[in-house]
Amino acid sequence: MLQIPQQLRRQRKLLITAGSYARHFWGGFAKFLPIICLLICWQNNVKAEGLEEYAIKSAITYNLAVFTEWPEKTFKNAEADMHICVVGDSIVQEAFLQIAAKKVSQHSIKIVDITRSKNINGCHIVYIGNQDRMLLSQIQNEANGKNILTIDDTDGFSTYKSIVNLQEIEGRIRLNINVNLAQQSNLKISARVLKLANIVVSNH
Amino acid sequence: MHRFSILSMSLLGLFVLGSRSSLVLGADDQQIVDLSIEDLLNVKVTTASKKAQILSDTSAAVFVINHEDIKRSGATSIPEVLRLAPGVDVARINNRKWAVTIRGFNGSLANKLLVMIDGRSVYSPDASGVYWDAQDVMLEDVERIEVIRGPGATLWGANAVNGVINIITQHAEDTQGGLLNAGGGSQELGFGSVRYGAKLADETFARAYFKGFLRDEYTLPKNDSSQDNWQQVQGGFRVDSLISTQDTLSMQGNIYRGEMNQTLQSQAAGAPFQTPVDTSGWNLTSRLHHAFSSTADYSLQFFYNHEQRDEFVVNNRRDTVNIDFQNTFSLGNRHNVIWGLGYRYSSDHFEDVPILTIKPNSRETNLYNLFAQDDIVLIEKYLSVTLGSRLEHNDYTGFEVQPTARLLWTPKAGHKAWASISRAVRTPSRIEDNGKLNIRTLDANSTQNSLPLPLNVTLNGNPAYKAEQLLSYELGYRVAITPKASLDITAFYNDYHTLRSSNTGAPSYDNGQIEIPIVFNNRSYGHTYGVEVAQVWQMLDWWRWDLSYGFLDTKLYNIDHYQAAISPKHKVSLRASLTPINKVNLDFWLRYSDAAQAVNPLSYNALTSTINEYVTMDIRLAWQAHEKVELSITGQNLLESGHLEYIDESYALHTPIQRSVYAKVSWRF
Repeated sequence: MLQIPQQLRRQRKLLITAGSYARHFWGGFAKFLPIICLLICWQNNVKAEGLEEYAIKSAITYNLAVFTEWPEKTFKNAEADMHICVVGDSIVQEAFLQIAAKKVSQHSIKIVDITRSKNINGCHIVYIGNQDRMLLSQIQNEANGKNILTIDDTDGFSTYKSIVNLQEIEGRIRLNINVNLAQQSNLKISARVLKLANIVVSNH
Repeated sequence: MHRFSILSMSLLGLFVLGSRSSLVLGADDQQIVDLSIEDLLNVKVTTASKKAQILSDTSAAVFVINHEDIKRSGATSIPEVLRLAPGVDVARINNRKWAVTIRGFNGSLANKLLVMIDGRSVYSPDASGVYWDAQDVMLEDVERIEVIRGPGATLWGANAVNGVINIITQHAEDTQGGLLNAGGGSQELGFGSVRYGAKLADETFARAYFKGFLRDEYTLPKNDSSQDNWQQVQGGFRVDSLISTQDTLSMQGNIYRGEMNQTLQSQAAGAPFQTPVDTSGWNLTSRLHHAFSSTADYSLQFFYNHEQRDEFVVNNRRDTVNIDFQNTFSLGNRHNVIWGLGYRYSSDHFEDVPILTIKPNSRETNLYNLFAQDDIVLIEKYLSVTLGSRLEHNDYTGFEVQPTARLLWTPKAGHKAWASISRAVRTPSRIEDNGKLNIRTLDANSTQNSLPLPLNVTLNGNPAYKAEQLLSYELGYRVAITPKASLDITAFYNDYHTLRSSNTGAPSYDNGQIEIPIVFNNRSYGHTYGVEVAQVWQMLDWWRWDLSYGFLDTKLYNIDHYQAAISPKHKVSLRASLTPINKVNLDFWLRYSDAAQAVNPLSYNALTSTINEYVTMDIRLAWQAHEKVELSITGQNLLESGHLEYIDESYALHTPIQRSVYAKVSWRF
């Protein structure tokens, strides 16, 4: 409950003097450095097994960009950049950089990190990779009717809120595509993609 | 030792040189982009290194314990789970009591750590601290626990001095269906919990749970029982609803009742003696979140908390109502602003007990606060600064200002560095203001008291008692060493003023005895400094290492009449999480704690006692026997039959923490 003050008796000195202070620090700290370092130094040369989640998801996003048709007016000209806006942590952002060097027909891809600003103006694709329910429904609300392809990978939703939802089922990615939302945004998704997807029909 | 240091330094140098590779894209990644969409949907996904790769974007020392970590730790209570986080000093005193702190000043009611469960503060103003025996959740439904080391007072308010712990339970949509857990063992005699989640309407999800446990008393060294058995039941619910595309509403509630025994070893006649502890309480929280747009929103949170405690050393109840409003918005492309205001009303009532009287017995207090923080991008993608402050008014010390300034620098991908300066205060407790504690009575003509009259030593609250103040300086660095490993290092220097101390007042004669009053004051001060390291390494897809190390040095002044606990200088936790064969998880968890000094109210010559260093290990083996059934067996504190971790400063008998084993079955339906 309460710490008791020392009273009516001599106190035992606990604390070491300033002189031996630094020695105690380094002496003690050094004891543990090798453990930390051993772990750090031996961890190169370990090869990945399987493909990383966001390496696949960003590549899928690139494919969706290729197989989706935007209305002509969306791009200023044939060489204008395609803005792929990404919400997500450092893993998500770094994985998307791998598609930044690619082109969609003549459009160069520009990856925009909007995790902080959440500003979707000027985006052609918005990828929401942070499992945030509220943001998801808010971004879809704002993107609705604009020519923006919204993609998310939120787990276990009973109703999908983006045009494309990526679900991991038994270790593989499944596509859910809401064709009504795609229509409202005037986006034409190629039949090649649609036949691989689970088609969701709802106005939500 | 010197040679040892040189070796360590050169190893550190090697690491720095070796880690420059950073996160470069390998040839594999280039090939992935060229795969067809059909192939991409067929390729096997691995998420193994996620934990090892993630680098937090926060300019504070944050560590997240996730759902999977909690499960694989085998821990059965919140304090035991907190051992997973670096820099958290968890010491179990006996069956029902823990001392939990960050960056020093531990105790069974450690007063510089703020703890919240789903936004509801569980830090009690009775004696400033958390009653861990009354805080429980269904651990299987916890999404994550955020452990923030260092001051968090600008965002979270007073008493977030050395750290903040946020326990966040899952959204009701993520806990659909049934879950039944049952188990038992040598110390956990029996436990069970059941949860069921259902969809109530379109976009409205709910769950309800009920849990209970019976914990065996610990055995004392001479095979005596410590008589500290503990049984508890708790139930609750949570509803999450998406009211519109712009509004979400969450409501949750919990109710609990605990019955414990404890052995008290006070100076009172007949001690040590066994005495019951009864706890009960209920709470309700609701949260409305409205988004104006994706860049602006507000939330309104309300909670009501009732708690009651009846034991030999304290008998009280407390009701708290709290309302918080928060608004976030962005200004241009550079500013992200969050501001908010809040009000808390708290009403308590203390019954007199032999050891403690509080005058007045009942008191109502009001707390008002206003805060604002701006997160400013200085150089896009490289440098940002966070400036904020909180103004708070409490009934004990009036206005308190708690500002912070933080800098986050991202020199390149895979590296983050940050620095901060913050101020935080620990506000006085009810006991420090109004309490009177009978510490001990010295008999007349005894060895300790040569006077012909008995001496009664009391500890007294002081209405002029001030808030304890901290000015904290922190530096942090995070690096993704390879795509499979990351390292997080924090260093801090904490400068404390007006810390708790005491002085002796004028003796008085009353009722045939002489009272010697000791009165709280704020004459102590001091500093601590330390380093905390957290490392994750996904060595193989099926084998992950988690290492954490904490160094802490405490120096306090003007403690001649008062003694604070000194936390262990070194703490290490090393976990190996393996999935050696499909559907089998194997976890090893090794912990080391250096010697510590705990306040010992019974020792006569010095007020603190040394707790010896210890090494201990837990092992958990789990088998997913069926898609919906998991069987597990957990052994805790396996290396020795028992070790002492702490001594209670409020007279409860401390016991060795024993080796124990339990088995558990989890069934999803």
